[in-house]
Amino acid sequence: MKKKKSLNIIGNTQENTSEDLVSRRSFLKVLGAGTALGLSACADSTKQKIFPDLEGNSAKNPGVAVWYNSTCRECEAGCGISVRTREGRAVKIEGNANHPVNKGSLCATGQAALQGLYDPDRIREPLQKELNKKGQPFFKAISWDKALAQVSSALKGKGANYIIRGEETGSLEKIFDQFSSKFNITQNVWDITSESELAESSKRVFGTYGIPHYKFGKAEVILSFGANFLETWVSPVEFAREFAEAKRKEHPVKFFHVEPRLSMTGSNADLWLKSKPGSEVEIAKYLIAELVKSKKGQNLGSDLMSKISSIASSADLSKAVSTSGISQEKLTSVIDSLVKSKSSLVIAGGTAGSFSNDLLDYVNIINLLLGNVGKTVLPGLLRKPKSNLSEILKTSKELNAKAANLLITYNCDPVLNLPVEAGFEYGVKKSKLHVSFSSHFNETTRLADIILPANTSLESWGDANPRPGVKSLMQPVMQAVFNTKEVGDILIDSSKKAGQSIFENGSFQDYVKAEWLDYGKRLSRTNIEKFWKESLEKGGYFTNPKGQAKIESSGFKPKSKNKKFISPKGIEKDKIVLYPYTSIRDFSGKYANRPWLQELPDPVTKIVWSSWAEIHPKTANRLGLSKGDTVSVSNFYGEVQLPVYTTNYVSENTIAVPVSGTGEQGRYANQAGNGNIFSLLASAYSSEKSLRLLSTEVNVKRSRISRKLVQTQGSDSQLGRGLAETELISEDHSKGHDDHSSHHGKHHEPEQMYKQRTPAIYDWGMNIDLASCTGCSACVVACYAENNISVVGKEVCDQGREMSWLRIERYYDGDEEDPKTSHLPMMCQHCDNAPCEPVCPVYATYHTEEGLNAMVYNRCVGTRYCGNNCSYKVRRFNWFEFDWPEPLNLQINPDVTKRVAGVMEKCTFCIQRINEAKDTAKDEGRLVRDGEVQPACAQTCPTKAITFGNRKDPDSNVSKLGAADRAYKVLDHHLNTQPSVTYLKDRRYKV
Amino acid sequence: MSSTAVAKKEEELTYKYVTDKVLSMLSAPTGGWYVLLATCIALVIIGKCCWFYQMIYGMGVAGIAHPIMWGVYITNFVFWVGIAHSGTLISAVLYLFRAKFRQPIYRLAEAMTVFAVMTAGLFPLIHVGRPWFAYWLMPYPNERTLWPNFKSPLVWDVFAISTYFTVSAVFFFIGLIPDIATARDKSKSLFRKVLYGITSLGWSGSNSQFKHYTAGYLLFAGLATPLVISVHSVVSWDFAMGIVPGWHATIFPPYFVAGAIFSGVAMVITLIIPLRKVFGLERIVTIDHFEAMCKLIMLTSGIVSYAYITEFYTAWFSNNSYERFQFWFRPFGDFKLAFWGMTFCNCIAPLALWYRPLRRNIKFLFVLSLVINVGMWLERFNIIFTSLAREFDPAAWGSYNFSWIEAGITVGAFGWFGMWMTLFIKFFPSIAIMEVKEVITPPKRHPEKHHQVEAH
Repeated sequence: MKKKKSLNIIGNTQENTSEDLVSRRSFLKVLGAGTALGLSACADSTKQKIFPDLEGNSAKNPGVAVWYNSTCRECEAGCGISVRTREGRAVKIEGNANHPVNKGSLCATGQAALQGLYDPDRIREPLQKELNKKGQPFFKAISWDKALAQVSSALKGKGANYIIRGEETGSLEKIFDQFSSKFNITQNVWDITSESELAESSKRVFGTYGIPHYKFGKAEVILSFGANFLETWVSPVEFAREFAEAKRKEHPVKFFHVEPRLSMTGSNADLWLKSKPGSEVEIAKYLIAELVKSKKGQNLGSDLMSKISSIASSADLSKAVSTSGISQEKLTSVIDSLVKSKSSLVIAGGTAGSFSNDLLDYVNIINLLLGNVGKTVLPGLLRKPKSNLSEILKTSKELNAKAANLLITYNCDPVLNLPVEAGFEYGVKKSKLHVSFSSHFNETTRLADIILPANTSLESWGDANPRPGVKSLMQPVMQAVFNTKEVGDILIDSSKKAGQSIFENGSFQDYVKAEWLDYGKRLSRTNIEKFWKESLEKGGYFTNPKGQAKIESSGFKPKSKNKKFISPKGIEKDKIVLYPYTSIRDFSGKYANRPWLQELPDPVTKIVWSSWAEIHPKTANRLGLSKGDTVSVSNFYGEVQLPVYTTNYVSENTIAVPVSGTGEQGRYANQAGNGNIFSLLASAYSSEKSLRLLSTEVNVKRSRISRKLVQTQGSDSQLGRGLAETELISEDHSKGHDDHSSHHGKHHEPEQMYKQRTPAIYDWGMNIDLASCTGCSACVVACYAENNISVVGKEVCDQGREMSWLRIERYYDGDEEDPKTSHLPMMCQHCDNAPCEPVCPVYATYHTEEGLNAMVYNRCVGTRYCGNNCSYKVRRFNWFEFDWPEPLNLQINPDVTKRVAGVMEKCTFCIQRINEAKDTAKDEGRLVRDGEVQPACAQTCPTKAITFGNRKDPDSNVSKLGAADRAYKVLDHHLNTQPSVTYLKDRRYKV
Repeated sequence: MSSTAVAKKEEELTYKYVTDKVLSMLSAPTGGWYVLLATCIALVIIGKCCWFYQMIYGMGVAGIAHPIMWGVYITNFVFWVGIAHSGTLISAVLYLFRAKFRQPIYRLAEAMTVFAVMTAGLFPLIHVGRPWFAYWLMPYPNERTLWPNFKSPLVWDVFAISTYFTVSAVFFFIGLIPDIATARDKSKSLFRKVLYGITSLGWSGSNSQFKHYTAGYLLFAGLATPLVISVHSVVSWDFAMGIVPGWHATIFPPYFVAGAIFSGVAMVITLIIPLRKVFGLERIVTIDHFEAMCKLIMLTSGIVSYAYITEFYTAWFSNNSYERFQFWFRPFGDFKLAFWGMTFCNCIAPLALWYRPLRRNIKFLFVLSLVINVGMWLERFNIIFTSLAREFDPAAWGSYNFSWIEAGITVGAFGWFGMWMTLFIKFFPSIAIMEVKEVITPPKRHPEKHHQVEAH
């Protein structure tokens, strides 16, 4: 493991922090956004620290990275993060290796939090809305004092007050509650990805409110109804890790995925079943009937079994087959596998699961019948989401009925992701004072009267409680980039101004500390101050709680009413169902202004920058559309323009659209140019807790406006070229034949004509296990962050000039119904017999003595012959000089050269990390240990599919894996390029 | 026109007619010449502006992108190197073979060669990402003790092109010496007297000078002959040494050389037809000369067509799926128009020359020569674009975006070439006076009527 010097903020308090030290170090000015940035950052109300002494801690020296452990707040999973800072600025986010949720890995979205921190369109100071001479509103900067004074005077005013915020946990949630009760404020929580209906279903069936903890690693068979647990569902990094562990077993897990549109999660299934939207509930019902028939769940008690039987009685095979469009044969094979397995896991969620909460209940029942509860399903052992659709709709009504005295919004965007029908926007506009604490602009924040910008999570104190036993701490990793405050401090300060302080003893930092000291006391620690410091350094306090929640399924009532799609007024005969889904690229539409995520190809469609409409070719044909056309998707509520992407892997008469933010969020979101897909939804299901993404029908017509579809992948098929190989396993776990071109099953070194170079000590190599790789693309973002890879924008991407050093190739090798998807991470293969090397006229690319294919940027003339001759097409040319608009430039990794226009670049195996490890090893008089060097991609991989190490050392992991039966090298059998990257074939069941 | 009529006319050619006719081309330029020169210079300026724009904003303003990283510039480079081919072939190889039909056309062909190499040489500079460092491809002693990579075909290219340029230019100049002397003796303006006086290197036409001159010329012809083969072979290795499907083929050197002669001869025809018309050179450059050139075109067109077929055959015979796919893609893929255009221009259209009257039809030949020039440009386009568009990794397949910058630079190159040609025909004899005289009947001596000595 990499030796990280984890420090806490308090550990950095310095003695000699004189002002002249700062001024002498004039180079620091480049870091400044107005003020010199302190290493140990904090809200300016506490102004404790500035650049540290040179003599003291070596870790504070320029050129040496300092790591801070904190918690990721980009989604609710609560992964631990380690943030690498250089000279007082955060340059990279990695997973915290000690954290039980993510164990060192981090997803694409989590890593892109850095671009939230350095967002050039962030709200930089308190703003007040004013009208210009023409009567148009604009935001004018005001001081914090003035802004807080307005909030406090509103707090003293009469009338109803509301807070609408995103999901928060720990101290921040507590202080929000205190604030609300003190000033008599109605609090609403709104987050479309919080899966509160899942928690509610758990209450109905298991008697415990809360999302169950799913143990993917313990299942032999997994059946998912639309739950994209590898992408955005509940806790993707943790689930991906456990799923991959289960796949790496000798008898790998068998995974079935039922959904109307191929998701990245679905692309990892052994059998992907394309269902008609909304039909999943019928399949689940039939499954219950079959399980009851095969005498499962005898120990459940007669009361519950009678309820279950009543569900089973209404199930019917022919109905399940006809409504879902899935063949009987396939359904039987799924049921057989589930019945035969010793342990299994059935889940439902995502868009498909949102159609009917019956489905969620049925799935819980299936787990009960299969005896999975307590084994792979631990009810109530994950978080308890507070987000509630019915309550926010109630608030919306109230806001419309009577103008609110004060409306505070924070970390949510209900104007974007509530259906228009709810009329939330009008209610907001009516409010006397709408205060936003948002750090970024979005649809809701644009409507605010005053904005008191909060720090991002990377600049804030806090804690999170993702599940019992895991208390995770947050600390600022640097001083606030702009003139912003922690949201906790805003609450404390405004309460003080209003004369009713909610916390007397200092800032929010002290509040969090007090909470933790209290927690330490409860744990009966003797030295609670030490406990606090240790927890800060570690990133939290982690235990493994034993025992499980009691199961009481009394609240469960079988329902039989069939749900139908809402067909708003004016829907034409061609009924097309709208299927919006959340994706890793934009989550719930919050992250539209993060260039890394915009330029990250979607794992399935490989589309970048804009959102798109997936339509089945038959439906497209009927509507007279083809790929690349622009359609207007509309109904009574609204209209959205989208480019068409035709694919076989979406149900007919369905239009699947990824959820995305709108141009209000900033320049990158604006460049993507997405419409608000939520505006097409209806809010008829006000009694439920979650928003139904799958509910409405739309009209689809060719649009007069043109929107560009930018796709980064050339061909969807690998034409039997055997680049991404799959080993098919038959039902009885015996090895079957290879899927593709099996003539080179195990990698044999071809006989060489010439004498081969043999590296002396190190021969760096990589191993990528395709069975573990899910295509989540976290590695791609890690590579962008680590290696200062330019983001080029939509137009330049369309020209094929994206700069990604690492791409994930996605191939379909199946037929129309069964995609047989492969994900193949492709980066420089560091060929020992590299085609790029001999053709370079100036030795700008050459082979190092450690088996690396090195690239000397300064020597490159830019003939681009190397790029042409590279069989893997991984060399990227700098067609332009790309810039990092301030303050995005603060993220640039100082250890990696920024390339100029006219030179070639490519993956270096993170040579800066190799050199760092070699330096350390040399200082300590030893060789680099196995696993000590981890390129950014390998470090962050949630499934640990990538292994890196010294191939010269026979005991290294990379050597051992390279000798495995599944090992092969891409194109080597044909070209004798002798890549340093070995792939392990994917393993899929032959179903 | 029958052949006997031509023979009669040739018989009528006298030394004086040749001298006067050729030197009349150097007379004061007409307005048309100025318009032509101005047009060429305007095109050069357009090309320069485009190039500067590209240098300021980056290579991205050109249409090339991943994975087609070589594009119009390299196509133009190979095209112009190909054009440059026939000059030396006609002047050196045909000289050694004593092919008499070369005499009236070789000077123009040589000038074309030199200027085409000057044009071709620009493209590698335009093409590289950092042209200010292009000199790193030259082996020169330096404090960093860095040398170019002698394994790289691009370094060979530098040598091949620069050698070819040097030898062609010297050979061209040597051939010019006696004619410059003639012009010197006939010229009246001081400027021309000085210019020709210096460049004729003191040529007096004496017997001993002729003795050395012919020996030297033969030597240079011998030296230049292997270069005809080598230069385009080396250029072809830019591709053949790569492992790209569609490039990596042993047939490339002969295929490229034949193609180069093919396009070069066509370009000579394109240039000489208007020149012949404007300056009334019909008696010097006769239909027979065109017919002889047509036969060269027929031969090389046949070789090129054979090479195309061989490429397909090799792809099929190799049973190599990548090669096979590439050669399926060429006729049926994204760039199929270029492929079929090339096939028509290079293989089908020249078949018309098997019909003798068409070989002797100047208008037809002019059109055909343009068609062949287009066809040969398309051939290079095919080799470069289609091969790079479909390599080994299907996920990395891509296509090309047209760009006005590339178009501007391409047009500018034609302007650049045209500018030098236009200047040349007004400053130096475009027809080899001395060598044309070698093949016509020497005049009978009438010392009182004509004193022919100075007419050499």
